[in-house]
Amino acid sequence: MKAIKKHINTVIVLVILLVLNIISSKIYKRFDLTEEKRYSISNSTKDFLKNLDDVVTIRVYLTGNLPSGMKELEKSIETTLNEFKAYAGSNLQYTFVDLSKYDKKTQEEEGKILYKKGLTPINLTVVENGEQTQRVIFPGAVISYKGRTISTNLLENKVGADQFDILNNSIVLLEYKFANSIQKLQRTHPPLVAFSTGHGEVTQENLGEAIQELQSKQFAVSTIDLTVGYKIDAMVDVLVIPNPTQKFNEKEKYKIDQYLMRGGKIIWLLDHMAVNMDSLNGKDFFLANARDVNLTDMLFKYGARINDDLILDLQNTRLQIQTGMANNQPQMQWFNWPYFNLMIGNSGNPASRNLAPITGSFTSSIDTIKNKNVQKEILLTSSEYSKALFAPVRVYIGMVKDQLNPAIFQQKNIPTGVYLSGQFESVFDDRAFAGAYAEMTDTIDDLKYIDVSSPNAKMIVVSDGDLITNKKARGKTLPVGYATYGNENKPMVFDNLPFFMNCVEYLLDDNKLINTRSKEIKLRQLDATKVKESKKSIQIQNLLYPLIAILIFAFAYGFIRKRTYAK
Amino acid sequence: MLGVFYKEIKQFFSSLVGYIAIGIFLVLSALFTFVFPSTSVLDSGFATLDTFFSNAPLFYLFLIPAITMRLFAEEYNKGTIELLITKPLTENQIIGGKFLAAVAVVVFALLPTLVYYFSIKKIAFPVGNVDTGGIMGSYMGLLLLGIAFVAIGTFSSALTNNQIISFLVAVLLSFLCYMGFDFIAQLPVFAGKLDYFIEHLGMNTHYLSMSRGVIDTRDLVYFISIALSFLLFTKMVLNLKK
Repeated sequence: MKAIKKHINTVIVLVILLVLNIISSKIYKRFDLTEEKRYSISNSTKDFLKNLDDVVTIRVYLTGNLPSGMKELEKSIETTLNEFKAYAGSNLQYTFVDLSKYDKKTQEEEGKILYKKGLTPINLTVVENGEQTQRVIFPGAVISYKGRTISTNLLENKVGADQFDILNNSIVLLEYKFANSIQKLQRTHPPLVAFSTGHGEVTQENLGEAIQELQSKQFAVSTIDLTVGYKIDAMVDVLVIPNPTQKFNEKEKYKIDQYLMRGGKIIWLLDHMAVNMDSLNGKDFFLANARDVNLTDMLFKYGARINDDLILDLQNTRLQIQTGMANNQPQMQWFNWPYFNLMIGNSGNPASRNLAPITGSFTSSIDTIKNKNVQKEILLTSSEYSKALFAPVRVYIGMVKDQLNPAIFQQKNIPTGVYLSGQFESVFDDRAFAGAYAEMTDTIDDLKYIDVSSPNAKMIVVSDGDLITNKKARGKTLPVGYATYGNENKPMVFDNLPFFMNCVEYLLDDNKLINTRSKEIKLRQLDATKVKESKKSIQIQNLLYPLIAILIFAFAYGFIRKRTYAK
Repeated sequence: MLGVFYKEIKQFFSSLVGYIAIGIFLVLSALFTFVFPSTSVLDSGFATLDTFFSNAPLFYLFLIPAITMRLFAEEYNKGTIELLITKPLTENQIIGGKFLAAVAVVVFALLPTLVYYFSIKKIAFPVGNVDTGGIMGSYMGLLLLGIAFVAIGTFSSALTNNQIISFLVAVLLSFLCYMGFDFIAQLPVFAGKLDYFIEHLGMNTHYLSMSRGVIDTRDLVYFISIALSFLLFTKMVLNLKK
């Protein structure tokens, strides 16, 4: 009898535990211990939401009969939107729409509409009425505000990433995506990003991935030929100048200058050294010389100077070189190639914070120029073991076979990317050209010469022209930022494109929402030089120290025990 | 309870088996985290201990059963259980003391792995650029998972008077509780409806959530419930065997 009573107690406790678990699934608290609070909603989002002036309606299409991974995402979406509602109040309404509840025809029609709005469908295997069927799901949301709508995909479906990472990334980015979409809706037109042409810039084809990425993030994209027309249209929100190789004339510079003075935002991607890897074909070395595209005086006036040098970095990606022939097969080997440096983002600026390294090829150092109305912030730098060599630089293949001695690479963190903001002065101040040109145009109101910009003009200068270029290898187009680092068999995609997208968003971001764009834990780098130098000893230390600690404990314990017993 | 706790700890550290189990755990952890090229942190180029935290649960599967296997099995085998029961101790105190002793040993086995953290910190770029908070959160997840495994091991040890069987049962049960629900959830029968729920019955989902560095009260309640449930089962078994 007593035993049975005891068992009843056990069952009661088990039931209590079960109830506790059910309650805790409704009422819970999360403590985000990660350094950058990757899993928490930020103050800038909170402020932004509190200041909404009209109702934002969000329709989420990820719901209903879903596999568990997707359900996890759905739950996180609901958590995020709930958190949002806590600050936006009645200005934020959200609903989850289950398309499968409609009949087949409506489903198809709705699907087409969603696809046109930019949502990417995925195919999922689900069980319906006891049978496995394929179902098309739109893991995204359509957001409306003041009669305008925008859609956002909520699943970060990167090819090759493992499922947990995809899910984790998607969850981490939810806050940013919703907040960013709402911010975009507050504009009357989608932000326009224009790539300059006419000076031997990177071709549209080789900018394919960047353009696609911009479009998928709801930007309008166009090109602008700087050699024609009187001005750069004020509709252009961000002007990107991707690696020009030919000289700009004064008229073209005037157009850029006046665009900036009128509130335009510019991203300069400039190679200051004329280098092409093809120059190495069949040669041991070549001389890299400075290339002048006649923009130096302009950048100098704004506050930055790209130097005529090449940065060599111990933190670099690798180059495959043929080392000989065996059985009529070329023998290929991987070498460190210090000319392809890995740039580090400055964690102090949201545009470069929390990014994996960014690959650069033949970058130059950037100096900032004293200029009291313009603030300068370094966005990208070389590693702690780097050096800058002044032009002309002898780029020689033998470099790879040299023992790269850290003692030679003594310059630390050479700037390669700079953010400039403030009140810029026109380059054409006091210049006869401006006067002459202005005479022609002064009668037209929006072409009037302006000599200083508004106090919050912005630009970004990066000394790698190929930052967002899709390079090619053996006829194949490679992803932007694709390079080999560490493990030779696993080339990886570095964060060039995310950095560029951050720059565009940062230039346009008036609410500092980009602060909420954060990344997952994996992106802290190891010091490749230290790893290489001391790999063995690190391995031995980590293998042996714990064991030695245990052994010492065991002996100490045995010794003390013996002594106590001996007494 | 403290008496039982100290006795168990003393016995553990006087036996060679315990040191060997901890030694193997540490060697495997170090090999997978630093040496084997496909999982090594050094080859990945990134300053995290992700591989350690994703592999440690698997190494737990033999470490913890090895720690817990003799808790009750040996007492039964040697007949000392009678002595223990006749002492003025409640069952809760006996189970609690043994359980906590085993948890303490798990902590003892985890402590030396802090070397990994300092070693990664030293070679991170720039020096010290590791997510200390996140790693602390991951360690908490690992500790909670350990507590749940210890409770399962304690239960398995109470089932039998044979240490080997106790070890094997503990491995099997721990594995099922850790990964089993995930496999069940993947069965087509549950797809779409119950799989989310079933997955959350298992430890893997809760551990993954914590190993990101987020301490969620839901996961805490889950792990503590699992541990308490198995300790209750242990008590039931002891009662039945009386």
